[in-house]
Amino acid sequence: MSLARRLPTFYAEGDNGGRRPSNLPLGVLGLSLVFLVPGMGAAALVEWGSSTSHEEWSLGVSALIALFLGVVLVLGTRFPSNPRPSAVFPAVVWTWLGCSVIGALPYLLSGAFSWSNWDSALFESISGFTCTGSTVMGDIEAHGRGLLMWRQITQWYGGMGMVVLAVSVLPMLGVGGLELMNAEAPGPDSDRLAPRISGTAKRLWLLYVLFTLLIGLALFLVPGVGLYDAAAHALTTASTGGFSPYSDSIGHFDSLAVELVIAGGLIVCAMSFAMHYRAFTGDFGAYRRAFDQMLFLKIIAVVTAAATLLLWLKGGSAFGLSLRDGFFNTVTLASSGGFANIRPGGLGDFAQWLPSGQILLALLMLIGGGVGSTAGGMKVFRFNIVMGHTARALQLAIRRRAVLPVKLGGRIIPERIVGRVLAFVTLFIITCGAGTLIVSALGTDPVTAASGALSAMSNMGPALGEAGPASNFTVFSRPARMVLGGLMITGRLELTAVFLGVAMIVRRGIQPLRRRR
Amino acid sequence: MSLPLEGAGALEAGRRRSPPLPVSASAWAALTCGAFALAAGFTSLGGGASVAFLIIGGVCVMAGIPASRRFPQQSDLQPARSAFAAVVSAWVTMILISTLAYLATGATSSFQDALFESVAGFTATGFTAFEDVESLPRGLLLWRASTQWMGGYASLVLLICVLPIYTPMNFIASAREGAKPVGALAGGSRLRELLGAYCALTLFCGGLYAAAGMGAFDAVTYAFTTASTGGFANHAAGLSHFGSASVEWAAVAGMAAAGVSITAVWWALRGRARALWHSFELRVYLVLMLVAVLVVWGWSGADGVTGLRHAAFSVTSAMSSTGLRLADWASWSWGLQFLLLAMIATGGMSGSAGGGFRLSRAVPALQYAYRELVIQLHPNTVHVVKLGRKSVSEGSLSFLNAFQVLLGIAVLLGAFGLALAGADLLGSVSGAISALATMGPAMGDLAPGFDAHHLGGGERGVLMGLMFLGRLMLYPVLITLWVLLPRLWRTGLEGLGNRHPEWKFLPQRGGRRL
Repeated sequence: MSLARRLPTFYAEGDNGGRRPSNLPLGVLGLSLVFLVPGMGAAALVEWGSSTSHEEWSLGVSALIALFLGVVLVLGTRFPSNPRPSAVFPAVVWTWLGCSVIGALPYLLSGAFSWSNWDSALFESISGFTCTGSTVMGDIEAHGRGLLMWRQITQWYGGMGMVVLAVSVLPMLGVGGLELMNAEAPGPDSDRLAPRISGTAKRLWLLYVLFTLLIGLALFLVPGVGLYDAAAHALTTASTGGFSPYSDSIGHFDSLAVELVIAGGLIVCAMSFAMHYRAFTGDFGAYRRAFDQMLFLKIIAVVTAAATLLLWLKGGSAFGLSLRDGFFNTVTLASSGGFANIRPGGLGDFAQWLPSGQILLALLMLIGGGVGSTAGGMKVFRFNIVMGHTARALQLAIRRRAVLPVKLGGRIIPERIVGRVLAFVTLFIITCGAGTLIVSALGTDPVTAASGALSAMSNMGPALGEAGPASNFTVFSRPARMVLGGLMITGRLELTAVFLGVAMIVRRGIQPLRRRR
Repeated sequence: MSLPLEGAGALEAGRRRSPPLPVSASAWAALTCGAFALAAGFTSLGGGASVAFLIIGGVCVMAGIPASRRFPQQSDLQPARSAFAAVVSAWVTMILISTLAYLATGATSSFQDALFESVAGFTATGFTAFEDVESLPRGLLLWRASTQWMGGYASLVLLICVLPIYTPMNFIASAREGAKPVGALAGGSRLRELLGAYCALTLFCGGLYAAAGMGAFDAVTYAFTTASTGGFANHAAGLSHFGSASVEWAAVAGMAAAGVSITAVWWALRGRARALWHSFELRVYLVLMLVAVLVVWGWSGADGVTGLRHAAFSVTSAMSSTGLRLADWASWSWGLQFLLLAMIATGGMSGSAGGGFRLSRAVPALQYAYRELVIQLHPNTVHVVKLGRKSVSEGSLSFLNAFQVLLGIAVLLGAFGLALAGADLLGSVSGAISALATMGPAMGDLAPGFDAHHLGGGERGVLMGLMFLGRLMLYPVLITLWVLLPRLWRTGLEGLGNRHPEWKFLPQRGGRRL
């Protein structure tokens, strides 16, 4: 406790009268670090049990570091009962940064990346936690199974989110918990599944675990897929992450059944978990009411058809093959999974598709999955609102005095939310453009830079151009990778939390200077 | 051109009947085109093209005179739908006349080439479909340049006089220089002021070129394409044909001036330099341009004054969407090329004939996004978005956001279309942006070294559509296509009139029907 009191208490709220400092960011970070320990432990067990390289100590040591830091932070701080927004956003940012740094330790300790190459380890970790799935590991199979399993597990944690996990055991947070959850994935719908927000978080995580188990079981039932493969891919399918312990990813199996199971899993997990939960408890109308989630399915259907036709008629491939690869790549890009499906004779390398097909896929990346899911991107919900607003503006140009609401499936969307969504889209595009400018300034060609930035922002994984699914992100220079890592966190936290969190952190940081003056 | 005067929507009894606005706008367009065609005909007197130009000019003037007897009044503009239809039909008329002129004068035998050249001309885009420009007779060169000049003026009329009435873009010509109300087309005085300012701008460009040592003919044509931010050149090598630094500096000054709002030019003519300084957008424009020039200069690593000149040329050409080219920027570093593309997309001041998103929209759009961030931290805050000292209304912001989305959709669809037609990925995306901003050259397959004569029919079709959409600021075209054409099909031209039962359901307000 005395150590904890010496920790910087930037966000301490009020005079504590000698009690533990009330510090939300450090507390949530600590709790998240504690939650990482079982994952590291499981990966260490896999390494111990199956790998020949025996690097379990690196995972074990990382787990101990995470446990120590986490316990110190949790015991040293007190969770405020009603945190202010100025503490909520930094909490999310610190949590994600801290987890990414600690999550990079196993890569460094095991020697997968040398210490001088620390930024690559951090990139791999960020790409994991943000469910992006871009990799800078050259020869993936050369590493121990446990380390690769840790890679998969980071994505699984990031899928539903560490902050949501932390909120699920913090009933004292009250409304602040909802704000925390919204800050991590600020979907405009704050669906409450239980009277307490921690109960909602718990239910979401349980459903997430259940989906992971189901996908794993389905994969395990496919002949030729072992337990390890099934577990590894189930973790990254449920989180729509896209990491795979094989450098040729799904193409390693060259199996239609595996593709179908993973595509099915991606579609389910790229739709609102709250909606699934309602359906699970018997309210099947939840599917019908969720207009935007159904629109997501329609988008997949339309783009699959378009991609198939393009590959078949313009690309000159066989119809069956076009349909198979058109469908899988559409699903994996729409759900921001980003699994590569490079197999001999296949069309999985979409960076080699016709330019028109690639533009379709980039559009899918931009739109993203359903709100309230593990998928990334702009989200269909926002896409829908933006279109509604634009159609309204066209109407208003000739009927200026009309009062028209923006509707989503018959439901009127409040203007507040419309405004927020429009601002989000502006920020998304500007951030993406700024990222592209920096990355291309660091010596990457525009197609690779722009698609890389978009892919990072929408947590996709592979990009177009040189960084396609058959390649990896080592084509970017090291500073460019750091920029992309920043974009990944920005995209995963849906911009607001990162911008406001960083602004708060900077403001707190310079406040002492201001006071002195 | 037939004029359906009799059957046209009759206004109130006792008032003189005037043709529907789309008809009279087309007639005015034909009249202007005719005048320029006559000028082109006299320029190339004795050549083969001369007769064709004189005939076309004569017919256009004769056809245009009857319907343009009466100048469009403010009240004519009232139904927004008819004004939008008028804008579209005026442009279509001009493009068709020009296409006919190219075919009749034998500049090209291909309809596609003629149409593309006309669209590029009247949208003031720097794409050309003609392979060998230098072999064209003088009359045709003058005609090419004047299509851009007319297109530039028409777009200014659209921006200053028509659009602000119907879309809440009244901040379009902002701050002090907009103190005189924009959007008032009172008896044409506004149009005349606009024309005066535009002519002064052209004279300025032409004077600079002449002073830099250009011949009279070249000075006039290049002044036409510079002042209109068009970008057609009389020479295959563009301005580098002259090999003179002073000509290039003249072009830099001309393009920078062409990207300035025409209302600012008007105030400058009135000797109100102080008022200019109060224009927030002008300050943003100048500062951004200066910074961009310095960045490009430093980044490109070109040495000394030549490097500065090339940087200034490229930046002013991109920001004003002129599309005149000097250095082949396909050989630049990737980052610089992308920066240039970003400048093309942003564009110049909103009251100028240039293209792109425009600064006076980009600044409030950024502030709007920032405001939403602040509101999440302080939910009860009241934050007014301002452009300089002038607040921007919520309606404008809402419209602005929609406009931004529409542009995004147009770029995406255009890029998809270009890619389908066979362009590479880089070329199709950058080409869509560049065509929508009425700039011209882009990257990849559409890099400055290439020109439209290399492109296939599909690509040209998509580019033409994008140029047209971008020049007409999307709204008039979209509304004409989605709302008006289906109604016109049912009701004929009368359906555009105020009193047609088709529009009875619309809300009405004291004499002004919208």
